[in-house]
Amino acid sequence: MADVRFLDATRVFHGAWRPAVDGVSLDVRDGELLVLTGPSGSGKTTLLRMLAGLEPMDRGSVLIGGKDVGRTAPDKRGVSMIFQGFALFPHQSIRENIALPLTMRKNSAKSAAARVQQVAELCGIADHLNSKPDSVGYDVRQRATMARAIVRRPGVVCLDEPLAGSGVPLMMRGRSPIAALQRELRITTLYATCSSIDAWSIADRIAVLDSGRVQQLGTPAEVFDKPATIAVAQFLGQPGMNLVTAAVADGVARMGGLAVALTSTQASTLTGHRVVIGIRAEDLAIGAETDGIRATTVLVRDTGRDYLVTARMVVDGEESDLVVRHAGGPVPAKGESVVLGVRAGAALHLFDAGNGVRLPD
Amino acid sequence: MSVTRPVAVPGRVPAGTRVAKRLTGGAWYLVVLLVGVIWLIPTLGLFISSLRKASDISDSGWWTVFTHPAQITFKDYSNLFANKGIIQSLWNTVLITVPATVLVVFLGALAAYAFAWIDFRGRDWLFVVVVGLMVVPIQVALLPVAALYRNLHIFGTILGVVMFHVGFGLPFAIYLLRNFFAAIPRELLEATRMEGGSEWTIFRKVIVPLGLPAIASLAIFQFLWVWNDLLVALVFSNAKTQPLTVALQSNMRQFGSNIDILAPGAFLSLSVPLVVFFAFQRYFVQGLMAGSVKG
Amino acid sequence: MDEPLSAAPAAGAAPAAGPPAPSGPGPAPHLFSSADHGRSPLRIPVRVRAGFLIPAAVILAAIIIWPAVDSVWLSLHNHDGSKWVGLHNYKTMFTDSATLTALKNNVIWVVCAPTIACALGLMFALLAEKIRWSTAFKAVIFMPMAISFLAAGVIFELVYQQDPNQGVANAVAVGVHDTFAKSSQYPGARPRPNEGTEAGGGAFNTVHTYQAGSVVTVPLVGLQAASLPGKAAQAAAPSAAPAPDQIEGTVWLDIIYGGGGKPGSIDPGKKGMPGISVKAIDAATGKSAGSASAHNDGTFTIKGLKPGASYRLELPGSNFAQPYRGIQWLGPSLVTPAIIASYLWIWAGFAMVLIAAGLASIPRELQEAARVDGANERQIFWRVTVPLLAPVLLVVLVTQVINVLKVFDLVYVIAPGSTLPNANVLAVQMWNVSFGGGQDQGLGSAMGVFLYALVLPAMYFNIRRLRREKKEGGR
Repeated sequence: MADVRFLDATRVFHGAWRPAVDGVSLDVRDGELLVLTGPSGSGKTTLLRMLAGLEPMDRGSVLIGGKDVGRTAPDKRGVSMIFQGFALFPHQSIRENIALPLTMRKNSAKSAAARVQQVAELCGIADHLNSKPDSVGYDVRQRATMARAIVRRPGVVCLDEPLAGSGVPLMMRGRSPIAALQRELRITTLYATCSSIDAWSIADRIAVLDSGRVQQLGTPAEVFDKPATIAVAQFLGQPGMNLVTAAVADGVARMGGLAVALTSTQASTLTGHRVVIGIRAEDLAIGAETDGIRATTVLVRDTGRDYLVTARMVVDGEESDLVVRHAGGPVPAKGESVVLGVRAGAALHLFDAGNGVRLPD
Repeated sequence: MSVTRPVAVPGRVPAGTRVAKRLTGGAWYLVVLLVGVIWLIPTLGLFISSLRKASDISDSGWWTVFTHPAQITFKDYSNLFANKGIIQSLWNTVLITVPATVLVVFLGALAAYAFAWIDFRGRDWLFVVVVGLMVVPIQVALLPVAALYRNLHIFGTILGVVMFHVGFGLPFAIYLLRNFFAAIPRELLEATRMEGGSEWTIFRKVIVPLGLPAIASLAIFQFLWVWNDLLVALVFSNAKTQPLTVALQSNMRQFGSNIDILAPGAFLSLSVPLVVFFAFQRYFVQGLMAGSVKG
Repeated sequence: MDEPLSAAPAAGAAPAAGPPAPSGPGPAPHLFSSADHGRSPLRIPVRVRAGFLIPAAVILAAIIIWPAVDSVWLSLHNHDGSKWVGLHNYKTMFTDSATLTALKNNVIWVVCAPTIACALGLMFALLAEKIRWSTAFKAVIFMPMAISFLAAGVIFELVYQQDPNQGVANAVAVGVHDTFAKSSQYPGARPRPNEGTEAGGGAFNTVHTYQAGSVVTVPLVGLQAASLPGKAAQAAAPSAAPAPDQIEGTVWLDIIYGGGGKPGSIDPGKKGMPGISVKAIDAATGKSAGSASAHNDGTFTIKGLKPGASYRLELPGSNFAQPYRGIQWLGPSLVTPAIIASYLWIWAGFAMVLIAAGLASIPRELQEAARVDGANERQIFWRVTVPLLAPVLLVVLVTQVINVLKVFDLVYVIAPGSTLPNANVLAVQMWNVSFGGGQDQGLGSAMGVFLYALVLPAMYFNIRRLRREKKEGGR
């Protein structure tokens, strides 16, 4: 069993003013593909490196299969790592690259060769074994690095931004051989990425990190539908969620022409007198009614399928921008006044303005 | 000289002066040809002189060979190769140059790896010291090291000459290699480390193969520097261990009468570096650029 | 690669609760942090770290660092290190005339060599841009870098040979000289002692005056018969009765090859001196009245003289001037420039390669932008190219200054013993004092320390450059 457990894992870099990873506790189930996501600098990579043994921990512990590996050398942990840019040795053939974990462990040449062949076939690169990494395409390199990661039958594979800067279109990444292989082999996999779309498309579960802390852990649907904090709401989704501050009075949050009634549980957990109302762009509509949020169009972007209309509203002298996904009907011109309405059945998200935490439903 | 590369970039108007406009393309070639010939003539003169009899050399200029090709003879060379002292000194040059180059490359690479990838207390400060040592003139060390060698009884030995070259070659070696090693992607080192590679394994399997261009540059530089050295060998070697440069130098005072040794000897002494230079020009230039502050 | 050289060694890094450092976002994580509290599986054992560093460190300490310190100590002692003498050696150094000459020469070197090398390098780099086979050109210019100073010394010793028949420099110098000043045909020839007087500038006048219409014989000696031109024929006597407005005569070499003959008479076997010029000088006014040059048989006829007037004959000095022997390159006055020239031959290629790389790295857009703005080529060169090249030029200059301060081999090898004192530089003087006979450790060390002090600014320059590079991130 290669489940992974972080307990209060903390890492402070010398000279840094806050921990890179700050008391992270996280359970990863055996065979699961967990995506670690969050803006760059949120601590994803450091967390992986702590698991792999490349980064010391200042506090806390890491358990693999229930065993504390804090003092275990990287090569004895049963963890392999796929680095950003793949880290294939340019002076060695693909075969030698894949065999590296075996040769370093002094496996017999014969069994190593057989295993390399087997893994290469599994990854579909058996034809390229004698090429140098620089002479093959991106896809082969990607598969080769995966082959190297699984050749020694690790319990856990860590992927550190494997597609960053690769030029692979966002939408294509879900079909990457890495994800496909992982599903097939059911190796516990931790996949760090900045792209929320990556996270969305391949993850069994997503852990959203921000400022070195886990903001939320859940299935993609959970995280998308019920973001636990403002940070998660902003990070996930394209575009991120619209967030506007509203004042609470008499159990109702008001924002311009919009009024949201708070439940009693919500009201009781509220720490201040303000909430942040979150509405996804998909849940807003440009309507003809007079009842709604009055705003002025400041930007219209054509995404190809629909339009993203940015409208600026002014409440109590404060400006805030809302993004609306506008599919049909006439497109408002820049500078035009519009009235925004909330679609029927739309989800409204309420967050405590003080600590950014989602208010219970 | 592939690294320098400014070969007629299309559309590039060179930053010339007004003269540029007056001279047509052909005239530039003429100027270049003239400069090139001026630069070649001294070496050519030595080469031709080495192929003439001493009596011919004192009678007429080497350029008379073009009208009297019969003057060409290999007698000076055969005499040179029959001269035991010269052959011994040539052998000494090899015995000094090869270990001095290998040691500097090896020890320099080890230290450069530490400076690039091993974090230790005072690392940056120490590296500044190394950079500072690059310009120290060897004159400042001659007397104390001579005394040290006398105490160790290695004064006049090849070992002493080699060690002195290693010492003064190391700062540049560390500087050049450290900069190159530091640019090797960290992931490659970590990938090895993840599989249980020790520092030594990383050094051998990752740093050395990937750092090869810089190592080649350094090796060529060090080779030329030691092969061509006169001062160090003049001080630290004796009649038995002196390299070719010192052996020839002792003939310089009677230049005219020793020309039959000096000309072929000097040509022999410069032919090896010249071959190295033309064979590895690219690395030579790279090393030059990377370490252009060495004194 | 952002390998953070500038990161302070992470010794005992603050744990989570430690005081927040005000330094903003920390450096990129190190691969191997020593801030590991014994918890890191990555801790590199001290002996491993030492294994990488100690060998180099020991050698550096033994060969450079300790000797540099010891030199200072030695420089404060007498010749064998037995007695403390304070700054006496330094005082000697700055009062001794040989050292002062060396110092003066070092100044000449430092002022001239780096700047000229830079200028040549810049010229060659620009030149190389204009031609297609610049690679070959650069290789030729650059090649001397691979040659030892000793070999270069032999090469230039040959170039600078005094005899124009051996040294190519003087061969060229003589060639150029003789193109502008014609060489004489009969160097060293002179009249028989009683037949003429020297008139200054190598010319000879006849003792007697002659009237127009008379005959003059001018026998010359002081020349080997073998060195007469091939066209010289048996000397002939002038015609007995020249026209009244003419003077006729014969100029011949009054020697017979192998001996014999009577001085002053045109004997068989004596040959005329063709081409020699003879002037008639009016005895009254001292002005030239006419001239002629001798035929193959030595006869000449000066025409257009006033009948009856008396003339002296002059054989102008140009007939007899010694040939031009070229320049004494390695003489006292030129030896330093001559050695600097050989230094430039070696190092111009270095400057060229660095400057060419600098030129190549200048974004073309900058020059084009200037051109679009109406700048001419000269303005572009001085206002755009040169300022952008300035950092490279500075590096070349500094490198060359360090080099030049330490120059030893070239001077030691090329300068002949007689002019070595004139060509002396500090490094050579240091060698002379310490090893080449002086055996004065104290004075030698003082010179070594002084040389070291001279390169200290360059050391500072290097370190500053390193720090800047670090700030720009790694390389």
